[in-house]
Amino acid sequence: MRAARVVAATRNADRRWLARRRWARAGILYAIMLAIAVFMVGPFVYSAISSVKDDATGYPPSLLPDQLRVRNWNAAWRLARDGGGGGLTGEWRPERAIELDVTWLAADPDGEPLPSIPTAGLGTGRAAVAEAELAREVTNLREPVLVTTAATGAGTLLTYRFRLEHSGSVTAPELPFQVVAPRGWTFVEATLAPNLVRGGLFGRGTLQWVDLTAGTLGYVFRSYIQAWTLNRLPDGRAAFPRWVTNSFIVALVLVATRVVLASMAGYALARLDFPGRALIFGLVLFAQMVPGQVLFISNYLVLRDGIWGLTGFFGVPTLLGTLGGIIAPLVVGAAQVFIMKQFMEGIPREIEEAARIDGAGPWTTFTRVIMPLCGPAVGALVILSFQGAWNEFFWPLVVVGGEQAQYTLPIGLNFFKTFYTAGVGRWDLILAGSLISAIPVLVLFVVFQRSFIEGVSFTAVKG
Amino acid sequence: MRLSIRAREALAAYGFLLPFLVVIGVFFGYAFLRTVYFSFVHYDLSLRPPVWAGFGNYLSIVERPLFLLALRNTIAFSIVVTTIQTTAALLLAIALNNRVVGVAAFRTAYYLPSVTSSIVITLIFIWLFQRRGTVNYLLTEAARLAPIMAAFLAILVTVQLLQVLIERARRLPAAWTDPALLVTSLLLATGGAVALDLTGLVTPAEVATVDIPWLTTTSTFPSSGPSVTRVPIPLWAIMSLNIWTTAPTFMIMFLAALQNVPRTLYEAAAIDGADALQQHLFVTLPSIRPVLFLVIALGLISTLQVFDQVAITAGIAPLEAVVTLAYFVYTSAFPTGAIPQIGIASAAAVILALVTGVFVLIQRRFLSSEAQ
Repeated sequence: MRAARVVAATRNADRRWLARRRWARAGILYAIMLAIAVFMVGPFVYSAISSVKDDATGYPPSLLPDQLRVRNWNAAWRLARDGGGGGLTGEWRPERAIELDVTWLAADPDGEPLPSIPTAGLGTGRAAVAEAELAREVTNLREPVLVTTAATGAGTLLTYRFRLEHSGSVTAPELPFQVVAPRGWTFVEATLAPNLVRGGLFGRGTLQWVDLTAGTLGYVFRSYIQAWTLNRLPDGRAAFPRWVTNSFIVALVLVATRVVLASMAGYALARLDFPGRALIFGLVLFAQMVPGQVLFISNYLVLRDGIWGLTGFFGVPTLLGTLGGIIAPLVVGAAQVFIMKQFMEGIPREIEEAARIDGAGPWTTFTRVIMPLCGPAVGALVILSFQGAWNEFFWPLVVVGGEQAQYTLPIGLNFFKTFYTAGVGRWDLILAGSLISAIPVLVLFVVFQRSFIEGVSFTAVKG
Repeated sequence: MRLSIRAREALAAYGFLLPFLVVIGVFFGYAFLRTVYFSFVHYDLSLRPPVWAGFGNYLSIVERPLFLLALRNTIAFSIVVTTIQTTAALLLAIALNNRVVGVAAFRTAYYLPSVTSSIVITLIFIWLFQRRGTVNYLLTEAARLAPIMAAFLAILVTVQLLQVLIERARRLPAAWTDPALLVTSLLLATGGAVALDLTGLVTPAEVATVDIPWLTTTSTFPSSGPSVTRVPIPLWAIMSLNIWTTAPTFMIMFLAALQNVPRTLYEAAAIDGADALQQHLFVTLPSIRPVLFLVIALGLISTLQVFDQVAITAGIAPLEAVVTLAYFVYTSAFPTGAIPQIGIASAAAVILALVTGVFVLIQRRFLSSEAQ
């Protein structure tokens, strides 16, 4: 009996030992997978964080900029409400007053900070200067009041309260603000974190706020709002929304044409018998290998002449620089035909034969019988086509050239890159614009991730 | 006149195929032939008609240093990126092929880099690879914390070794990487490293800030040797970008293939005494061979054509450090502030198509012959 108890005890110990191994293995697996996930998703998360920073190229890089601190969200809300507008996006309304506290560490407490409404160095472009001048006109700046003093080992902590009063009758959309401090004063903190902190140690330090009444959303997403509104086309309209519209038009049209035309061609190759079938299928396979660079010169020339003058009948002399030119060669491609053909071959022939017995011709069979069964393939095709068309870079680059109003988002972002890396650079705008352009495909992906992944796996298994 | 059934079916088929054939005829067939024609002429896109040049373009193109650089860059890019991204995709797929709770969330997260467009990712990477950017910052921190990491690893290995030996002395079959023991070893190593750091026995190293100008330098890695093997550093940056973007797509393909491998094969191998590594070598790899060849072929084709990332970084990086065949074709056809050279561009494009064909044929010949 003692032997049985020993055996039972050993078996229990074995079971616990094995269970411990299983749990530990699962834990380590999760840890590894988590580490990989950080590596794969990290750059996106980090660029999103950095896209709201005042200075996206600050060194060392930080993971918690001012724009992501709750303290500043509350401050922006309060200041916007004081200014008379909503808490999310504020305005500077008549008969309103705003108070702002700023703290410095002063080696020498002599001197006074100097508040003003700046008209330069904040946003870019004439619109920003005009709005700043309006704010300056209607704002009355009171003398700064010393609120608290505290002596510390390194100097004196001075907190000043600044009061701004709206003394005009017009609502100002923005309220930029600037304070120049005496020499030797180091900025410590303020009610709302300033957007720009300059100098201080060896000269007179400057603090700038782009808009005191921005409100929480206006404060956090300043770079996104600027990316959307700042850049102007030659005719004065905002460029970014126009590029978004262009991308949507191109993507939606291409999805529609590709689904319809590739299904038709795929059905013929999958189910109909005709001379030249093998040849055309060989063409489909071959065409997927040829790079776009081999074809673009001729296609560019074909577009330039308006497809041998055909579009001239519609009053369009050339397709260069137009969305139609981007769309024309991409209307249906070998890859999509290949996907539809492979899927349709998997549909049992009996269904078709039954339709044929019932007297259906090829078109009726196609529309009434085959297409309703192609749901998964059409779904995958819609998603892959939208993603491909939305992200298309090379061909639109060739077609639109310098026609800014017809840029699609990728080309527009490339333009952003050239425009906003010159000089000091506005990487926050570039990152914000990039992330805005990634949103539609990301949304599509998150909602339809199953179809995305099925579409890709399908190519692998059947390809 | 009644058409025969076969004739009617053929007519219907061509009706279905007509839009596709028209588009492919004009924008592929005609374009392809025209490019081949253009490679034998001098043409500058103006109203002046093309001038016949015979093989002149091909002869002069191989003497242009920029073309040879582009060729070298493209082939190096293709080989390195295809190898690394195929391996990475396979490893990721193996990691995801576990039936644990929440694996679908991980799969979504891993696929994210493949979803966004090349412009978004290239811009993010340009920003990360700046001289005072995040990559250099992380490298500096890694170099600074190296002594502590070394201490961590030393403690980890020692403790794990000791535990395994103790377990084996107790007649328990402990593998060298036994997970349960590994957890204890990791905890002890973390605690030990933190203690060493706090007591000052091991301090972070004093290192100069890593300042590599990833995208603006013309230096190469490896920095010496035959010029064919000296890949410019900006190109390495673009390679890492490309691998990070495309590996997830191939990972999904491998995952689909892995999930089709019957579990019984693994169980049979385990009964025969194979450990995890041997199981993967002798069961996994042979079973996914068709998908493996497909992934390699797709990888070769797409990396030979790399254009977007080069075009976007071309304003920042020196041209000879990033130029690829596809970009060479584009800049020859649309040079900024110079006369288009359609003949040269077309010749380069034909060469690109030929190189693609050669690579695919080689891959078919040597890698899939056994699959027949």
